[in-house]
Amino acid sequence: MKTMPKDTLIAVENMGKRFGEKVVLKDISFSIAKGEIVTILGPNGAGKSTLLKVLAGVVPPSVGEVVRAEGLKIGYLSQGSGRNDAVPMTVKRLLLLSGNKSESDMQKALKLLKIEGLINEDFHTLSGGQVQRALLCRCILRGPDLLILDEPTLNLDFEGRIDFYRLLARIKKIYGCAILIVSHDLHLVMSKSDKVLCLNHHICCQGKPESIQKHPSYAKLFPYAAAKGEQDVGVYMHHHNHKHPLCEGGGK
Amino acid sequence: MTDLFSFEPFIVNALLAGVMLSIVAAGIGSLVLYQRLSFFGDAISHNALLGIALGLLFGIGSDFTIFMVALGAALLFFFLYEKKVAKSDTLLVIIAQAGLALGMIMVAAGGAGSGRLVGFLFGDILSVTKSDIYVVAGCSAALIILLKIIWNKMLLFAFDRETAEAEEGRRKMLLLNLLFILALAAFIAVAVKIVGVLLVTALLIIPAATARFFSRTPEAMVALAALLGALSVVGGVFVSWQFDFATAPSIVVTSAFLGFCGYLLKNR
Repeated sequence: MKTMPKDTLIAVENMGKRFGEKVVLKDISFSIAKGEIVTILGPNGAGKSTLLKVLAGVVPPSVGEVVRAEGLKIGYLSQGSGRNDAVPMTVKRLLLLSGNKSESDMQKALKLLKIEGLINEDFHTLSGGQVQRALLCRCILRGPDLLILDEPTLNLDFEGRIDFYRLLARIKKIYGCAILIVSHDLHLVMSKSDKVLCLNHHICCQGKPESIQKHPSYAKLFPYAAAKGEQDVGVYMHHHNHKHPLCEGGGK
Repeated sequence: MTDLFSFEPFIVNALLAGVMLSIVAAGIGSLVLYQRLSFFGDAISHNALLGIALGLLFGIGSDFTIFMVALGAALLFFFLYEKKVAKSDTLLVIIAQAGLALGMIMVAAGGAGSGRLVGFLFGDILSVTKSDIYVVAGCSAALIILLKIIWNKMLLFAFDRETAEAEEGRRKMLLLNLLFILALAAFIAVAVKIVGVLLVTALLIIPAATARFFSRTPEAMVALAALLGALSVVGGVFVSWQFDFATAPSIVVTSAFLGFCGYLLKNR
């Protein structure tokens, strides 16, 4: 494989993954550069989680290889992570699982995630959203170059999701890490992405969010979302062009 | 009542060995519980009898042969498991029973009578000698150091396997797991002489399981498990001394009794 451009954190070329006879991923080529937010979209069973696992190094690829920048630090938040309650664990002890951290570093990260009150709580009694935040807090404390997040908003309500994406933007700003995220929240997440990948065992299309929504493969994968596309793109593209009276208190 | 307090040297030896083993067992046992490997520990300890038999047959120290057989049984399990020969619980029962049965046959072939067989199965803590104490102390120290090295990463692995593999790499985690299995095999090799083939996992599991009721962090759990293990040894030796019961079973029953009290205390 060729050497990577200097800014590239991780790259795959013609990567494939089979489980027995079943081909889950085929001809996957893409790369993530420093500080990029990359979103993966795709229907259920498209191989999104498997792709993330291969990139995170949890599962080896069957074909091709994953090239990582030297010393690349990955923070990986899987869908089922952190629920072995056989291990007694407080939030503080969880944060210390990533090595010795100073009290002030911990406080800073906890505050950013708005869970500073939970530091002495039993991890196993946290709610779904708190669990995500505690795990994410541990990830960012390690100072990763790349955060890999597998449907982190799955158990959150709509407000919670918007909050979460805002949080990601702040994390990126403060810690400077690249973010790879799988999400079904097409439009919420797309507007913040530098690159969007549509996956259905192979990469159907990839590019900037604006161009993706006009791509015929996107329409094929997400007919409903694509049909609404024009309107929904508007939600993020024109939000400084005019005021929405109902949203901004005009309806009072 | 004078009997009660006039400790014979062999009682002191028994207590020393038992307490040292309890401390190591607390750390290893907690990791066994976290990874839900209780039956795995049980299966490889049953194979210790085969190790004893091989030691007798070849006239070499049984510590070494037990360690090798325990390790062999562990690796055999992982090999068969990866090959998907059968489900893990099925494989573990087969490995445990086959090893135990083969061990019984070979112990007899090695010329040991059924009296000694009972000693192997249930241990002989009261026959612990001074040199045994040194072996237990040395092994315990080495195991504690090894556990300290792998502790944080193994905790993360048990807590969230995929995260550990993503952060540390699959190869490194495999190596750490192998070190853990080595520690488990070494513990069994040392402990079998004292509590016997059939009861050695009780020493690993029961105090740790009791400690889990009251622990918020893994380290607190290990500390409490060590204390409970030591109490079980002291209590068990005392009970067996007073009532002339077999010692190792008395230790295990005391440990289970403490576990029951722990459960009641937790759920009162």
